[in-house]
Amino acid sequence: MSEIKKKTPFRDLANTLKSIRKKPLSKKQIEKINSIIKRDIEDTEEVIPIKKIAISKKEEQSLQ
Amino acid sequence: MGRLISFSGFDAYYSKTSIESSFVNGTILDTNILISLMYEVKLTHDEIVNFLDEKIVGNGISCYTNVITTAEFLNIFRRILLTEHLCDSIDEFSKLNFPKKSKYLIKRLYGEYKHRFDHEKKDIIFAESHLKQIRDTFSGSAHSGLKPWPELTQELLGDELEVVYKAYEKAGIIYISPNEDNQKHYFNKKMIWEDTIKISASSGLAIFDAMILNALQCSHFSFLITADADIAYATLANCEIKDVVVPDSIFKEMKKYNFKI
Repeated sequence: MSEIKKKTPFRDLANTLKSIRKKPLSKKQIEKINSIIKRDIEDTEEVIPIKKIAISKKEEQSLQ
Repeated sequence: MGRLISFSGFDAYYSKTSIESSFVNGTILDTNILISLMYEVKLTHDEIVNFLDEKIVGNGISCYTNVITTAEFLNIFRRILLTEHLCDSIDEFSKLNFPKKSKYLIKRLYGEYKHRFDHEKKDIIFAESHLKQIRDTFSGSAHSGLKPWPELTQELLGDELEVVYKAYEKAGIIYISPNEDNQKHYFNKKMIWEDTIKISASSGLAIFDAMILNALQCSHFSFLITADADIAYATLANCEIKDVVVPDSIFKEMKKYNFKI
């Protein structure tokens, strides 16, 4: 005999609300936000990832 | 009239009242009931979710909200989303490149809220005044005429708040208003300010909460579900208020006031 699935609309709602809160911004959203800020605000501090700095130092050395 | 019913005492209450001829199988949900659905960590979260699914949906009781509860629910969710997204920008791995002054302010505010959370268990949700302070750090340069903050909030809130509202409707929560012609049958009395003021004055209850109780009073529904200790107190203090159903913890808390429960 198959078990009848109980309706749990409030558990479903709670899970939806939690998933919205936990959802990080997408790469596309982050790029858009960064471009808005870069376009409009002069004092934006550009965050350069550490790895990128390391690579460019290496590249610099290889150039020398 | 004016009874306080605990979640654990609901079965007995419902079996007795639902056979009364005037009983309408519906209830009004207070804002904090809806807000409790968002928090996994809150003590009442599971208690409320289970109660609504098992005792309310299980008994075929329809759930309604009014303009106040819907507005308060969406508003708190807006503040939560803004707070959490803004605080993401100060995470060491964040790729968000916010202005320096914005990051400094967000970091300082987050520190203050975190301290309050650690010591007083107060939620980390930025106050309106603090969100405005953050907004001001996103002003465009004088000559650009551009407005980064509105574009930013569109990205952070635009789709999410709509999803929240749709999910709310999908759960079967029905928004009712006495001003809608096709919903007038839910009400048996005109909602007037004088009644809200009387409810507020009877225990010093906040006007927004008194408006929710007044909506119950003017409706055909017999009871309201809340997790608000102030509404529970107001119900016990005013014998004219209809019945209010609360989590067991709020019910126990009310015993200290020595009302006849």
